[in-house]
Amino acid sequence: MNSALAQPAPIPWEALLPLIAVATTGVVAMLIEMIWPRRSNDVIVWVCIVGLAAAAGCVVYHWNLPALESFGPRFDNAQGSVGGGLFLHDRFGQIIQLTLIATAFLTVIFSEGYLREKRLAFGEFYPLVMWAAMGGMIMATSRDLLIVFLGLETLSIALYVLAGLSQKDKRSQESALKYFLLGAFASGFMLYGISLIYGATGTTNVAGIPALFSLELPDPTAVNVAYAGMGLILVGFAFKVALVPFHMWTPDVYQGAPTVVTGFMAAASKVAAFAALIRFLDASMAMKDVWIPILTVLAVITMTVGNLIALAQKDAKRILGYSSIAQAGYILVAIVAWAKAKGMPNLTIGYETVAFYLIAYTVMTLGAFAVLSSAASKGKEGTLLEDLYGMWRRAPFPAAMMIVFMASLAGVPPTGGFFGKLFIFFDAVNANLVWLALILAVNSVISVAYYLKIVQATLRDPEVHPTKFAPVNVGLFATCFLCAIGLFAIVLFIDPLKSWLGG
Amino acid sequence: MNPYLPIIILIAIAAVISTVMVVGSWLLGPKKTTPYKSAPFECGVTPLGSARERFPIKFYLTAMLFILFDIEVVFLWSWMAVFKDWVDAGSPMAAYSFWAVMVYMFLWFLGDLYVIRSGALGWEESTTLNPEKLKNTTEFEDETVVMVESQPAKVGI
Amino acid sequence: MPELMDPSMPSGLNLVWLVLLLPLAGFLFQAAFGKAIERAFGKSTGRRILGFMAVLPIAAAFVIGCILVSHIANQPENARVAISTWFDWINLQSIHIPFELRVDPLSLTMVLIITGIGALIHLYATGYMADDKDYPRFFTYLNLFIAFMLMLVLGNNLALVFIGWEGVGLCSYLLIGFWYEDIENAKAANKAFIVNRIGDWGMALGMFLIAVVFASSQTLLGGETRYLSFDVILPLAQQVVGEWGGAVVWAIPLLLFIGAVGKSAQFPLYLWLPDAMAGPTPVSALIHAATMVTAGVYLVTRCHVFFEMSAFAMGTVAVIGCFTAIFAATIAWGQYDIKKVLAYSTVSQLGFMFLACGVGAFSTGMFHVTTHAFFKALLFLGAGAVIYAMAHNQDLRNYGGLRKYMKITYGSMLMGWLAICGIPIWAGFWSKDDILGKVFASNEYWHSQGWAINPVILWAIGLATAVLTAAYMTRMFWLTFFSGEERWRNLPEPAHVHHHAQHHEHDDHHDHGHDEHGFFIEYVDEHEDGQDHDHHDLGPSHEPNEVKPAMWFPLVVLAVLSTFGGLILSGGYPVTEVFGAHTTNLFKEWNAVSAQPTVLPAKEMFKVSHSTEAVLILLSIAAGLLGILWNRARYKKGIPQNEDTKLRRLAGSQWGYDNAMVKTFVDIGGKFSDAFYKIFDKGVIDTLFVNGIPWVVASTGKLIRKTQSGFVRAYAMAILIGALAIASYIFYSISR
Repeated sequence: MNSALAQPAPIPWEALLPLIAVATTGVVAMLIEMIWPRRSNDVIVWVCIVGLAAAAGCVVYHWNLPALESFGPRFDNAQGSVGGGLFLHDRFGQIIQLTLIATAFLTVIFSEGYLREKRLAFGEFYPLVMWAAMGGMIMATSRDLLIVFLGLETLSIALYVLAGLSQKDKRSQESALKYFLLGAFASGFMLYGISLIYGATGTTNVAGIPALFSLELPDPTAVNVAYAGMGLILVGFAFKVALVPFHMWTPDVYQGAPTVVTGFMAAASKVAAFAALIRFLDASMAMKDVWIPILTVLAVITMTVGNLIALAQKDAKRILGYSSIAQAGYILVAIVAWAKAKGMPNLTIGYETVAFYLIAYTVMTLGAFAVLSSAASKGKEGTLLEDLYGMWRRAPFPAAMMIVFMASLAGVPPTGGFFGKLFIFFDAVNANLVWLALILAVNSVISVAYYLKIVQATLRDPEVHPTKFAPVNVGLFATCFLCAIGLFAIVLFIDPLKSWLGG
Repeated sequence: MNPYLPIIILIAIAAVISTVMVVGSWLLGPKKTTPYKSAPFECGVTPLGSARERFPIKFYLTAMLFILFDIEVVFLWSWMAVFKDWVDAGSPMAAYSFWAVMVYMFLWFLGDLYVIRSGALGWEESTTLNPEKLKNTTEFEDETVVMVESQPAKVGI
Repeated sequence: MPELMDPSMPSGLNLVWLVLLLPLAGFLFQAAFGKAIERAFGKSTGRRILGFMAVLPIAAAFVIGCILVSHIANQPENARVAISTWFDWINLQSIHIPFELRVDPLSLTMVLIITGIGALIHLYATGYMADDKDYPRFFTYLNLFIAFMLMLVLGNNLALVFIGWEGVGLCSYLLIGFWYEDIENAKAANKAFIVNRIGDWGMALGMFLIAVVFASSQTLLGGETRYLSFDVILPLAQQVVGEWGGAVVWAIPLLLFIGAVGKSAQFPLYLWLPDAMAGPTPVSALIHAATMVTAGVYLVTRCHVFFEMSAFAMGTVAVIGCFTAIFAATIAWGQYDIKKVLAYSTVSQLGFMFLACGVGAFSTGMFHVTTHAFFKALLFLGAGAVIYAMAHNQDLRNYGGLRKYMKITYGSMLMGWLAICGIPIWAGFWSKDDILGKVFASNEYWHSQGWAINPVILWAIGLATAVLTAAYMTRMFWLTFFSGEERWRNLPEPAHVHHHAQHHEHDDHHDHGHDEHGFFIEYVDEHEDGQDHDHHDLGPSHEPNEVKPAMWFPLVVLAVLSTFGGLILSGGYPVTEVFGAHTTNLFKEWNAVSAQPTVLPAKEMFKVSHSTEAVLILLSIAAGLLGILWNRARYKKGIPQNEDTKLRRLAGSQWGYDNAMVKTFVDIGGKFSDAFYKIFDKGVIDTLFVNGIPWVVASTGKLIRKTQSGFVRAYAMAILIGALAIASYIFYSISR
């Protein structure tokens, strides 16, 4: 092939604009910090808000763009074109992108008070949040495993730094290093898996996998290699979404990282990784006989172990860390049900249950961490359960919101969390996975115990010295309020989600 | 022309540059001799004691930044290898890839600027090993690495 | 739109929905705008608007009720039932419960009582509550109560009746505890609510039993599934229940009667009513005298077919009613609190009504409901006026000689007193005498039905109760309005600090200096205002005054009704009978279709000769006079020396019944449940389930938590192990 004859691929700006907008916002915020160090916090906040709004506007403006199946340079393998571009422009990607933008937006507005209290640099925090969000957005829309990996690393590296942002806090440092080392370890698995898939299919595009399996007589060696690659990629994703036993970093990192970072991390990285995972699984549907049992087992132990350990915790952030592990297990149940339903007649389950739960999870997790962040003061994070005592009296609004978020996480009707779990439950039952649905139900009952622990802590009177809660500023208020409203309003969203994503 | 000539030229240039850099820094740099600095393998690692020594984080930072430069060179090199062909063939890829690389370089440059501005390359005494360690080698068994207590950070924090 | 079941009925009957919806609208108005209007127009004007808006829907409902009566009265006697259905409320395969109202003489009688007397009491309350800080809240509850009460009497099926039943219970609870800041009031409200639950339990079970019985006899119903609708079950009750036979025959009426006993404060569940006097006096008059407490009598009358089928059930009703009548009368005789006297009197009179129902004279029972509503509302409102004038002191021992201070109140209460004592021509005479006559006359019939207790004995007890009633009412009346001295002048001068504290404890409705909020009053009584400060508590310098027009106007109306109402409605029934003159017994004829016994042979039940009738009438008049003369003589000169006897104290303490109940059910029950809690809840449930399962779960959690060592190498190892497990599985499955 003569490289001199290569033609530049047309650049679909309309689909790339959200990514560019978010990335540029981060760059601009960093530049501002560089030019006027530590004197331009308000400006940075405003730049981020405007940038994110623009990004969201881009997504919405091109909402009804003729659904490009894919775009970007096409890679061919030995068998010829596999018909896939780098990126995908579809509803699922748009919804996940919007969710990530919203996550970043809420993080921006509620973290302001926390950053001031802890004296963290705005100019470092906000650009990193932007770039992490961009990484997630790439993961959600890409069809090329390498690009997915690129997005994953952009997200992860930004998160490593964010986790260690509180430089005076040894826990923060520790968590950053742990996250980094283990993340690199897992990335190695993922990258190895990608290279095996490349070896098997001749392309890094996921479209190569169905192409391989649709051959009349696929090369058995290639098939075996593809299976191995799939397994290793699963390990990488399992680390990212914190499935047991790849979860062990989660509680340490969640606890050590600054609370606002934890909130963002819990929401954004999980949403992005699940979006990428379900896309990858969709492409490797031909191998589902192998990966469905794996994911089923992972789902069961993830839910159970996450919930069981959460019971024994005394730190609210750690509890939420384990809770997020358990929640990942729930989502995995939805994915398994979705995959099972693929081969069943008269039953179509689309991405909507997963998307719905991811959105609900984002909203309630962000809200909970936003409330927790108000307990932080100069010297400490203040997220032990004892630190929350007396919150009801001293900061009634966040305390009330906390109760709402906990109720949703525990799955109390009529919150979004409840409906999310309900949909998962129904999906599982419809897909003949009644036993899995029952395990899910038992687990959510167990989970009530530790969510109640947090609620109880906010309602108790302090025994020794009461925590001083940060005054509720506009950002925190808005975040709590939006999340709480969102939790109830999200139910209205299920029908559009169905019509967009329904299998 | 001997095909190995360019290699020899390259080696020569490399030798000249490194000589100039070493001599230059020897001539221009301040000369503060401390016992710790004059120790063998002077690069912040104490010569005696446990081999499972912890390194000051600064080394990693510098190393990582070095890798970034390294990667940049790899990118640019591979791009340049084909760029000339495209220019010769009048391919539209020439302009396209040029601007793409320019965007990349611009961002890279910005990042570099930020690194300098935030003092990541500044090497302060506090970040090096405590010179007292040299005198008191017996205590090395217990880990007493001086963790980053006072941060340089002109920006941030 | 609502639809009449029988299209031949005048469509104007659909107006019945308006009767129900008007008070509901009033409730919504008060609830939504009450506070806002009070704020927007100021306390004085705002409250006048609110008061007007509270009375208006009830009065309008009364007018519509009258129109409905005229519609129904035009129909032939047997066709005076119309059912208007609006929508399907519950429509299942197995049962169908539409939202339907029943317009018939019985429900309309109740509607007129509820809305007519209700409107008067609302009007009275605009004056009585004028200075309360929670004025809108009061009328919110009161309007809601009227709406629920109308639902109770208008509902055409037991389910709707039950809604009303629970609704009035709720309103009663809310209004008893209206001044909730005083813990005693809150306790009284709780007591009423809890005791009523026992009754509701019976009512609900009765309802379910009816549904079950009818659902299993579908052949008779011909595909009809409205198992709770009166128009379905009442005509078929005899057949269906008769087919079942056995215990069901008496279980249904007795379960319903348990409900009635609770709501209508009969022995043994009357306990809550005296405590309910903690609520504002208009509430006592409306809910705890005139309307809600008669719901039990209404229920028995409505479902009388079920009762008639079981002589045992009828006997139970009669005996319980009779016993309650005399029991409560003796207690009333031992009370010093004017409202308590009236409360026990209400219990006693309700006993009379059940006695009438028990011997089969349902129409007479309802008649007593009506006249009782007149005179008891009057007495309560009058008592309220007295209390109001006496700085909220309710103790009879501090009254005396009020006649000359409160002429209108005195005059009206005089009528009420004569009515309850059973002096002819006043209303109470006609109904009470009729009841006693019917009880006596049913002797032969019930004897033949195998009653263990002879109705003549019941009659004798009833007559004794009549003597007692006249006696305690005279005592109350004399101690309040006559008996020479003005006893409050002997009280020590109230200390101001003390009374302020007391006032806060109660409520600031005591500050009745601002009279301008009265409904009819359009002036500011500056004189009163000036007196305000030394006017708070009862003391030698206290000068009682006649209450404002908004309060005495209802008194006058009720006094007229108490005087002539009974005579007009009954047409002088038992008396004229003796003289052989046949006048129309308006009430009886009007109610015939819904209150006439259907199973029992009405004509043969009450057999009595004219001469016996005459003797009975004379005896009942004599009973009233005896009671009056005895106590007038006793209290003519104030409180006699021997007033506070052991006997009276014992009677006053309900013969120890309340204490015994509290001991048994609260203390022993508490100990029992405590023990149960310790042994079963804590021992078994807690150890095994509540703590056991979480212990297993939590210790598993702790065990797994140990893996969370904090070392990166351990974490990486876990990832590696997981990856190896996945890899081995994949290897296993592809090599298969």
